[in-house]
This record gives sequence, structure tokens and C-alpha cells, in this order.
Amino acid sequence: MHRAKVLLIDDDDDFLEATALLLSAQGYAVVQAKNGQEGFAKVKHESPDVVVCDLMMTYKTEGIDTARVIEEDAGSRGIPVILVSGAYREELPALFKQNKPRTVKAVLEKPLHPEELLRTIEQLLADRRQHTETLARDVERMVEKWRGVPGSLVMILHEIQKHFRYVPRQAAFEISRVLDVPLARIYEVLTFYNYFKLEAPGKHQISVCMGTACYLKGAPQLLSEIKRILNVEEEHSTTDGLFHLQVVRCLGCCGLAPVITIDDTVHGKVQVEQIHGILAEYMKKNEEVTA
Amino acid sequence: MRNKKTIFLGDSDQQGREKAVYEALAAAVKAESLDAAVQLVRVAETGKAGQGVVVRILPENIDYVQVKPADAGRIIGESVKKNKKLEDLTPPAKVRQIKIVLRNCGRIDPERIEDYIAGEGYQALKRVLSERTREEWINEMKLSGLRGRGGGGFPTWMKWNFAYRMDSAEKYVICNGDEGDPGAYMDRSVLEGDPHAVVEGMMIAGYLVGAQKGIFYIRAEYPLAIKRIQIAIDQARSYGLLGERILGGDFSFDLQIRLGAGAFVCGEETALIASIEGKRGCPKPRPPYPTVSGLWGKPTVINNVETLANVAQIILRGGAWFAGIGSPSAKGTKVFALTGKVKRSGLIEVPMGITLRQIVFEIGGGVLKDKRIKAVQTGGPSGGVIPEHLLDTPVDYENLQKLGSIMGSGGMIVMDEDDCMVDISKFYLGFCVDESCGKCAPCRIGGVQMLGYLRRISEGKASMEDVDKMERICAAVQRASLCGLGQTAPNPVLSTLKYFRREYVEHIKERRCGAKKCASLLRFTIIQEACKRCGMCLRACPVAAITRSAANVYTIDPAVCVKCGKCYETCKFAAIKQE
Repeated sequence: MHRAKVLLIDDDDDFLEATALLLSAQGYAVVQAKNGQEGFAKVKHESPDVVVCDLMMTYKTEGIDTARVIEEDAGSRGIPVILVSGAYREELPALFKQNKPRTVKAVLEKPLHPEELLRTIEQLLADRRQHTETLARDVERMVEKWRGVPGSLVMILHEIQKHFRYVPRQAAFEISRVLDVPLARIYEVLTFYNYFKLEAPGKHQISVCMGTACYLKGAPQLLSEIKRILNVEEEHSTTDGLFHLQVVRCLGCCGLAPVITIDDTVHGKVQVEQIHGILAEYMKKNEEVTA
Repeated sequence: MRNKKTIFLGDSDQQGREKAVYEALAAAVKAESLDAAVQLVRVAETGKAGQGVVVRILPENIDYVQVKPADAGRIIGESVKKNKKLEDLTPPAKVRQIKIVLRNCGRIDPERIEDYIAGEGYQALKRVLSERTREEWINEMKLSGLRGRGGGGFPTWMKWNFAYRMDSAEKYVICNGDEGDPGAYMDRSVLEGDPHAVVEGMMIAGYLVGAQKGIFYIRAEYPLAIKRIQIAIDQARSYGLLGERILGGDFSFDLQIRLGAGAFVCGEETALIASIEGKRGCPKPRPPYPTVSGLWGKPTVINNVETLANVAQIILRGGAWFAGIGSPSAKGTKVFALTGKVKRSGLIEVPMGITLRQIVFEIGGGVLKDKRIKAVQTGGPSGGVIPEHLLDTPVDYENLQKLGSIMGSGGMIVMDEDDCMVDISKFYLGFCVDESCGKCAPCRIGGVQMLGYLRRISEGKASMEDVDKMERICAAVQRASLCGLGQTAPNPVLSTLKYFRREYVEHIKERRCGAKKCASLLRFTIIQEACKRCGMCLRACPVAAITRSAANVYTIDPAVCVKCGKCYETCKFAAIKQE
């Protein structure tokens, strides 16, 4: 059977040695790294199933940054990270409040209790297995619908995106397996059409219309204002996952130019000064929900 | 006189001048002793601004404008009594929109096939299946003069004829609903508003060329259009209009939907076919044309949504009827999405051969805020600008092409004096560069190079030599590109250069943007006489380019200024000059 692989990242040699001993005794394959940079290189090379990472190494928030780098890398995104905190643990909630990488699935405190660590790893592995299985089932169901129809790849990708709101890497792997089509062929098509998203979009989708009428009436100014306020680039989501910003060619309501839509709500004849208020409403609503 | 007549009258400029006319009319009615037969009604709103006193006679629905009290006798004595129309008081004939493609949009429930059938729906299909031969019907299409509405203007009958003559057991018809031009939404409106008309058009095309399958290729960005076409297909199937042995004959045909995925180039025929085959939407060299070797290598007819929406009407009313509308070289109507700096924007359907000026001023109501019109852009990113002095050109395929633009799918954008032509061509070219599929070098490399020159021009860093170089690249891209996207991508640049070279020269030599659109060419200075020393601009400046001297004098350091315009917006006393 495939042995699950754990990557340990810590600048403390003793911790590395002891934890590695513990995990290999349980039958895990263990890989080690001494800082975030080396850790990420190992993530790319070794594709571990779980990462256990120290919070403070060379600097205070290196663990969080490492988790973020893993999140931002399309190939490693799904790998869960267990953050281990010694010093500065009391600052962690504040640090997370700003932006918690979605890859961080658990936080453990030093000194580590072996059982707790093992239990957490087991749990994360089980979650992941289940996630992969459900995904495989979903993908198979969607592929089945189009089986035998020639040239169905684009339509299958539409189904996948409709279901997941984007095309997860794992799903692309599954299609490749089920259809027996090389992965490169799938990505060739996926990356050609800009309708397909490779990243999970934020909760609210902001579309800024860049049709000619909107362009002439000030859409570029609206776009830069949104980017400034949310600190986000086109085709990306905010770090808190609340907004996804995209530029669209034409929404087909040129009479309302300039137009932005947030989800299904159309905001027409928008002035730059109104952007702040429009966005604030969604943020406020979100805070109320979380509170 | 049995029928009672009603005469409405009102002052279209709300100056109360109808009172005198009213009295004169009342006197005339009395003089002709028509008191019992005529009713006079004064109204406040006439719907005809700027045309003096307006008189409307019902039930004949005759309008008279600029009516003076002295005309009252004639109106009653001749028009009302003898039914003689007074030509001198009749308003000049207005440009009328003619609805063929949009005839049902907004009038029927698009999700009910019964509504469509009630208005002659599927009658054309029935006729095609039961009367005359395929050749004769294709000939009828030839007679109509219908040409492709997607932009190219290729005669529809010819396309059908090519495919019809191909000896193949398998043929396809495809409806191109991958409407991607920014500022164009005609196809979307037809698909959403009258889906059965397009379905019927597809079926007729399918029957005439001998296809068994039809495919709708629709942008995924149009979910409602997709939903309505699916409903239309399902309903047609349940009515026995799709499937095996349609209407009891030997014609079997079925339709399905394929979704686009946000690639502009997929509007091109060969790229569209590649996309339906599940590949990247890259175009192929033509010939072979799709009518010879298209989808899965079989003869394929690809028609635009608007083209197909015309078909049933042509069959029902005859090719000669259709050919009677429009201009000598272009028949029928065209739907335009009139937008930009125009008072009434929206979809219009007008006969071919109408002038751009009529469209903008009579249908569109003129330029927003009554500013001066600079140009009209047609054809989206593949088209060009048409300057003010050429607005009297009749709209048809050849005329627009002669002017360096194209008919395109029907985007029509009005630009006023505040629009910078360098900026416009940068916008359109940027679109084409973004959407280039990257397969052929002229389009992929040429586009980026041209865009680089345009950027430098808009930043004031170019020389006149660069314009020459850019023109040379334009010519190369036009000639050497594989598909329509590349071949037409230089159009916006070339047409702005042709008609607005002055603006390019101004950007390059004077480093000035007359329309104040090119940010890096702007200069901000403080008008000392108007400055109230409030210090708001100093606080608003994000880069500390504004300083206050010991003598309380504010100045902007142009070397530090990033031209964001914050000071200009902030100043309450208009003391910041932007030039």
C-alpha cells in the first residue's frame, strides 16, 4: 500500500529528529526541511500528503508565508498544512484575522503531544481521501453524461466548472484518467478559453464591463478604484475569499454604462465615488453573517 | 357624418400657443356646423418636441405640425370634412424602424411555442417541406439578396447552395451565437426574445442543404439565451417539429447546443468548428471552406443568429418582398446596437441604406449633452471609425468597407469630442491582441508590436517615424494573418490614422492629448489667482508632488506628479488647471 508522506519544516533540529522518528515508527514516509524556502522546494519535489510547519523560523510569520506560497501554487494547493506554534502563539489569532491561508487546516501548540499530532494527521489524510473519492465520483458522473459524444471535452469542462465553480486540478486529473486523454490536452483547452477558471473564485463575483460604451464612460477608473480598495488584481480573488474580480467584454446593457455587476445585481451608471459604498455593503453583510 | 372625430391639439414646446389655434378651430367647426361630429381636446404632451402647435385628427391618425390659427379653416374645411391631407402641415417623413428580425421580441412569450405558432410560426417550415423543390427555395433565397449578418456579408443562398451541391451523407448546420464584439448584443436579444424563429431558420437551412444535425454554438456568458433555446428545442421536439420524419415527410433533423467558453476568435468559422470538436479554438487556413469540409470533415453551413432569424419571413413573404427593403446592394434590415455618447441607446432595426446621420440623430436622438459628434465606430474591434463629415454615407457592406470600417455584427458606437482617437484604437487593438489565438505569427507578433507603438504615442514617447513603422506592420498583419481576426485587427488603427492623423501628430509633436484622455500627457498646474490656499490638494496628493512655500504659495512639481488627477477632483475652486 502507498505510504502517506509527511513533510516536516522546522529550524529546530531536535524537533525534526524526534518527530521524524515518531512518524516513521507509525509507517509514514518523512521528508524534512529547515526553513520555508527549502520546505516549499520539497513540496514541489516530493508532493507530500501533509505538511507540518513551524510558525516562527528565520522570522516571525515564516510558517504562515510558507502555507500561503503552497496555497498560491496551482500544483500544491490542496496539500493540508498543520501549523505548529511555539513563540508568538498568542499573536496568531490577530495574524489570522488579516488573512489565513486556506491551506492551514490545523494549528497545534508546542510542545507537541504525539497522539494529538498523529490524530490530526490521520484526520487530515482521511478528509483528503474522502474529498478525492467524492470528486472522482462527481467527475465520473459528469463525464458519463457525455460519453460517446464526439468533441465533448469543452462541454465536460463546462459541467465541472458549473459544479465546482472552477476546474480543480484534481478534477482535470480525473477527466484525464476517465477519458484516457493526456492531461496536457485538457490543460491546452482549459487555458485557451478564458471562461474556465483554475482557481476557486471568491464568494461574490465582481464583473467590470469593459465594453466600448463602458470604456468610454469611465470603466477603467472604476476598475482601478476596485483594485485599490480590495487590493486585488483582475481574475483573482481577495485573500479573504470574499470577492472575485473579473473584467468582462460586454454585459450587453450599454445603456447603463458604465456597468458593474456583483453576482446577479447590476449596478448601472456607476460613479467612482460610489464604489466604496457598494463594496462596503457586501463586507458589512458578510461580517453580520460571520458574527 | 356618422363617425365622430376627435382632434387633439397641444403646444409641443409648452408655451401655451395652442390656445389661439383652439379658438380658431372651434370657430371653424361652428362655421361648418360640425359641432356634433367633432370634438376638440387640448393636451399638454404631444410627443413631438420642438414642432410648434401639433394637431392630431383621430381616428385617421393624421398629424399636423407648426399649425397657426390661420390654418384652422383649412384643417376643418378640407382635412376633416373632405378627408384631404394638407401636405404643407404634414411633418417630414421620419426614418422608420422596420422590424423583421426583432418582430417578435418583446411581443411574445419566448418560452411558449404556442405564442410563436400563433404568429405564423413554423408555417415557413411547413411550406418548405411541402411545396416546391430545394433548388427553387434556394433560388428564392437568392432572390431575397439576404447576406450574412455576422459581419462578412457573404450571400446566404450561395453558402447553402455550395453545401447542397456537396455529395455527402452527413452534413451539418451551425448557428453562430458566439457574439463577442464589445458593445454588440443583437444576437443575444434575438436568442432570448424569439428563440423559435432561429430554430425554424435552422430547420429550413438544414432541410435545404440536406443536413440531419444542427448545432447551436452559444456563448456560455448568455445563460438565459441558452436556457430559452433549450426550451425551444424541447418544445419543438414534443410538437413533432424535430426528430424523425418531421411533419410526416422524409425529413429528419435534430438540434443540440454547444457552449462557447469566452474566446472571441471562436466567432471565426473554422475556429468555431474546432471548438465544437472539443479543441482549442484555432482557425485553419481556408480553403477548404466549411461548406466543403467543416465539422468532422463534413460539409457544414454556418449562419449567424440574425441571418437565420430572417429566413422564415423570407420564405413566407417571398424573396421579392425582402429585396424590396433596403438599398440596391444590401437588402433587408440590419439590427444595430446603438450605444456610446448617444441620447437614446439600444437596439434598433433599420432598413439597409439608411445613413449614419439618420441613425444617430433621428433614431438615437443626437449626441449626449448635445456635444459635437466626432465619429461613429462600427464593426467592433474589426471595424473602424467613420468621421463626422462622412456620416451621410448610406450604410451597407461595401460603403462601410470603402471607408475603412466594416458592417460587422452590428455594434455602433457614437463618440464625441471628449474621446481620444489614439486611446480608442489602443482599446480596440488591445482587445484583438488579448483575443489573438496565437497560432499565426503576423497576428500574434504584429499585434503586440502595434500596441507597443500606440502605447508610446499615448505616453508622448514616440516619433513620427514610429507612425510609419506602425502603418507598415498594419499592412503586413492585414495581408498575412490566417483568419479574420488578424486581417481586420489593424482596422481601428488605420481608420483613426486616416481620418484623425492630426490627433496622432498632436500626441507626438506637441505631447498633448486634446481630449484629455491620455493620462501621461496631462499637465496639472495651479492657477494662483483662483487658489484660496485651503491646502486640500496638498493633502489629496498621494505622492507629495504639491508643496507650499513660505509665502503660502502652492505649486505642483511636474517631475513628481503621477497625473492621477486627485488634486483636480478635490479642488473646490477650480484652481487646478488640467491640460
